[in-house]
Formats: sequence, C-alpha cells, structure tokens
Amino acid sequence: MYRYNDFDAEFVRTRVAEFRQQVKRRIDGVLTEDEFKPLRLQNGLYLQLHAYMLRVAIPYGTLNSRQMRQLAHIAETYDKGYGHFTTRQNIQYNWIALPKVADALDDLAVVEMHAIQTSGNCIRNVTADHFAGAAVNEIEDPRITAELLRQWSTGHPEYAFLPRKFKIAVTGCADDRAVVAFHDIGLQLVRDSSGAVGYKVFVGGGLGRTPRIGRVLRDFLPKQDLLPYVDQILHVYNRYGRRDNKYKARIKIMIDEMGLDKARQSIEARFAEVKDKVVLPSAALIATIEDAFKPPQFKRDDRRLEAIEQVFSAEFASWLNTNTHEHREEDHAIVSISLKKHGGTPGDASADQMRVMADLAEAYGYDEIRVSHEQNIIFPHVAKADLFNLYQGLREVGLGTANIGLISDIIACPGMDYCALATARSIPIAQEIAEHFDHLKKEHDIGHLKIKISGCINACGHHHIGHIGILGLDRAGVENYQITLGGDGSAEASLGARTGPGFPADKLLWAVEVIINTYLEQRLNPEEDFLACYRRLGMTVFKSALYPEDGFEEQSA
Amino acid sequence: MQVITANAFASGEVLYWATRGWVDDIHRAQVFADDGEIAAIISDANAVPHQIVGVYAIAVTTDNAVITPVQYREKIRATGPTNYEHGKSATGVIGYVSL
Repeated sequence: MYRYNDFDAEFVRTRVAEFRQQVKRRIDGVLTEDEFKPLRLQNGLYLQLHAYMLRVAIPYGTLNSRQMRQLAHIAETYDKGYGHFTTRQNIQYNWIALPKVADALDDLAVVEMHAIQTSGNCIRNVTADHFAGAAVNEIEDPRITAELLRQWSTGHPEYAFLPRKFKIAVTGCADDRAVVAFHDIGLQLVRDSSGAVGYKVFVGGGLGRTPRIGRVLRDFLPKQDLLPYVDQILHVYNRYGRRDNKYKARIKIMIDEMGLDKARQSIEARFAEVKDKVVLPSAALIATIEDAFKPPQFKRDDRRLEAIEQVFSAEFASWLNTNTHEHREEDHAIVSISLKKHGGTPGDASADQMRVMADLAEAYGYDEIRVSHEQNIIFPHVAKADLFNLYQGLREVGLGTANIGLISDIIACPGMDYCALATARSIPIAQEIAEHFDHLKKEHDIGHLKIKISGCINACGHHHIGHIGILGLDRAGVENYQITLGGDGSAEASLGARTGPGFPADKLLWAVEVIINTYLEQRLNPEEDFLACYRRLGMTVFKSALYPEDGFEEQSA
Repeated sequence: MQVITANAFASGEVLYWATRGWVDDIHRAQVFADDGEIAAIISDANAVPHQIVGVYAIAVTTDNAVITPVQYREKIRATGPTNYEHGKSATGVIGYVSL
C-alpha cells in the first residue's frame, strides 16, 4: 500500500500541531465557539448529540494491520472501546473529549492517518472499490487513481471553500462496488477501442434531499488527462455552483440548472485551454504510486479447499457461500467480514475485534484490510487453504456472521442515537429487522437483498439505493419511516420509488415483512432475487399488499 | 414549560440549567413556565467561556417532578443512545425511549 513520503508525514504532523494550538486557544477562552467551529470541522471534529465525534479518513478504505491496531488503541484510549465504520469507508469515534483530540490525532499520525478533509466544503476522502486489486474483471487498481487524486486534492488551496462538500469515487471495473454513479464525480476505468486505459467520467450524482444518478460527462478520458480534467470540473463548479442556498449547492444542482451540455461545454473549453499548459504528475511519481499498489507475492498452497470444506461444519460452508467472493487468483478468495452481527450496531467493531482482525490480516491476509462502503471489513487476498483458520479466528470474537448481501447485512447511519442532524433512529430499526429474520431463519431463503436505512434526508445510509430503502423522519414529534423499493447502487443504478405513506416505528417491521412475503410469493424461482422481482413486477403488487385499504390492487402501476 | 439545555464544553455531554449551575440530569433542571428569564440565562451562559456550547431552550412536560422533553431528539439527548449503555444510558437516567 501507499506509504507516506517525508512531505506527507510533515504535512500531517504540522497540521496536528496547528490544531493542538487551536484547541488550546479554545480551551483558554481565546477563541469563541463560532471561531473554533470551522477549525474543528476542518479536522474532522463534530459536536453530536451526546459528545464530540472524530471522523478519521481511511483513504480509499485501505488499512494495514498496524493501522487497524492503532484504531483499536484510539478506541480504547480516547473513546468507549469501539469505532464505527461508515458508508464513506471512514471510521468515527463517538465519545472523544475535546482536550484529548490532538493526542488522538498525534497517535493517528504515527501510522500515517489523519482526519483532514473529513468535513467541510472541500474534496473529501476519495473512495474506491473495496475489492480493488483482487476483483476478477478489474482493468486497473482504482486506488492508483484515488491516491493521485488524494495527493492533488489534499490541502488544495483553490478548493478549500467550495460551494459545498465534494465526493469522488473510483472503480476499476464494470462491476461497480464503489457506487460511482452517486458521487459528485464518479470515475470508472475503461478501455477504448484501441485498448488504451482511461476513464468514463460521471458527474453530478448524489443522494441526499435531491437524489441524482450521475450523468456521463465523458465516455472516455485518457488517463494522463485525469488531473487537469478533474481540475476543470472543480473549477467550473467553484465558479458556478450556488452559494446562496446550501441545499442547492452541490454540483448535481449546478448540472441540473446549467444543463449537462452547457456544463460540459464550459468544462471542455477550460480543459482545452489549460491542457497543454499544466504540469502533470511526473512519471516517477506515477510509478511510485503504481508500485505501492502492486499485488502481494501470492503464496501457493497445495491443500484443496474442497477437502477442507468436507471436513468442517455447515456453518463454515454457509460463511463460505455468503462471505467469500471470487479472486483473480484461482486459489485465493476475497473475504468479507460482516460487521452486522444480528442485533449488533451495523458498522461497529470493538477494539478487541479490531486487534483480532489485524492479527488475522497479518496471518492470512497479506496484511491488507479494506473498509467497504457497506460498513464491512474486507480481506482482499486470502489463500483458500487458509479460509477455515481465518473463519475460526473471526468466529471467536463474534465476527463470523454469514450474512453478506443478505437481509441482515444492512447499511445504517448512526441516526438519532448520535447524529445532530438526524430526524429518527436508524440503528434500532436495523437491529430489529436483522434479529427478526434471523429468528425466522429465513434470510438465506430470501437471498440477495440490500436494505439501507437513513435517519434523515441527508441519506448517509444510502436509502435511495437500497433494494428496500428506509428513511426515518420526524412526524409531529414521532419517528416515522418512509419505504422505497427498487433502488440500486450497482452499475445498473436506479433510485428507489416510495411505496406511499410512511410507517410508525412499531409498524415498520410489519411493513418490511409484508414486502418480503410478497416477494417470496411472487418470485419466479429462488434465483430471481428481490430487485429482479421488483423490476419485473413494478410497485403495484407491493403497494397493494402494504396499503390494502387503499384499493391499490385496482390501480395500475 | 421549558428547560434550558447545552453541551458541556470539554466532553460534549448534555447538560441542563438548574438555578445555580449546570447539571447532567434533566430531572434536576429548572423548569420555566414562560419565556421571561430564558433569554437572559442563555445570554449569561454564552458569556462564560469554556463551560458550555450550543445553549437553547426546549419544550418539556412535567409530571410529579419527572421532566419529559416533548421532542424526540431531546428525549434521546436526555437519556443517551439506545444501542449501548454509554453516556446517559449508562448513568441510569430514567429512560423514555423504546422502539
């Protein structure tokens, strides 16, 4: 993985020292809260409902074991013994005390980590496919692009005060696991007809109160044009993005209002003007970054997985079925570690669990760990012969849940249990759904299904792209939940459609069960998953089951 | 009926105004029947450095000295998160929040 050079290390150390002084001036009463707030936000420190929350960047979701152990140390030393992995491939600590935050940041800097640009109207942590470097059909490791963008965007003086925050995601193959169509800029590595590698560029995607599927700005952008082209997108956005209304300030609204063609003309005109004048990253720098993401030296093991499978339990077989994916090396697998134990808080890991994952990554995972936007942990490279030992190690600390891609593998934002912006809780809803279908032992029969829950319209829980999306709102002081169906964050991107009026918290599980039972009754066969079934049937059949008193069965879709 | 709330400056913990100072338990908060003194208390509180942040008044109901916030958000602030026994959930403040 990419290691800090002297510049990176000094930049982070200097930034922590600067913030330490700012915290001291706040504690000494020199800075007011109004003066301090933008400074703390620039360093990832939010004030939530019960305490300060520190959001730590995990560039493109990549960690090594040493970093994971340090995250455990921070959880234990400065927080309440756990951390929350987020839909932005980051980690958040919910109980950080202001006087200790600079110490925590110093400890992070030791392992080349920080909280810079995890808040504010700047270019945020660049995210990437969590199977990067291991995915079967990958054209190139997307982290090479993400790291280049990280270096370019970190501390970029022109883009420190954009109209609004700006998120970039990169995928290295057509199977989009990075949700590129729902980012301000989405980059998909592609080949042109001559076989040259470049990018398909999406712009103006996003969720939140105005969900938009990213629009294709360029079908093919040559690789070497990446930074000047992205620079011009940012330049045009910085110039024309709205600053009068924060709810209309994202680039998706600029594209809506300008129109894609005019936005493209502006960007392309600027690009043509500067293209031959800009200083591009040197070949040596690119080579250094490429080297950092070379795959490990894969070991060869003669033991056959089939033989191991036969010896061990049905539980292991179930875990293999849901939690492993095909690796580009035939004798290896990609392992997803579920942070969605039934009844647990989605995305949370204790310090002990983090340490065990670090140890196991060293023993069986070539020291590579990823955080997925679906709030799970990935070991991208595991020899098939090591899978049982890995599973045993995970199981001992409650990390052996076999539910990746199933109904209990739910994305949930922190919701009103923690978040100052939330309008309803997400976590207990996720817990209730997961436990219910686990008790019924139905989730493997239900099959592939993504439920995503947000506790407010800002959509950190990606509800718009859940096969079943749940949005928590405040209706006259009571939690109420709207349901959407048919959302999809994969390459066939689609936004969910609302079923109708929302449900109070105590009716929501009933509503989810009605939807699931309708699917089970209507599916052509078990191979037709929920999303395919919904796309075939449309909304009406689900609506009429959910709201029979409205006579929806009499209406067309 | 209203009480005045804020977050503690250093820890961020939820606090309530209780006649002569800030307390961490809503049941010990001073209840105001009208807006009369609230603006002055908020103004005074904001003038004291490094004590509290984000001070504001919230609507409550009272019943035999049990003070219950009207807004759901404030119920969670008063009683702590519902997924772990952390913060006020660990300190045994009477819970109002069930699913």
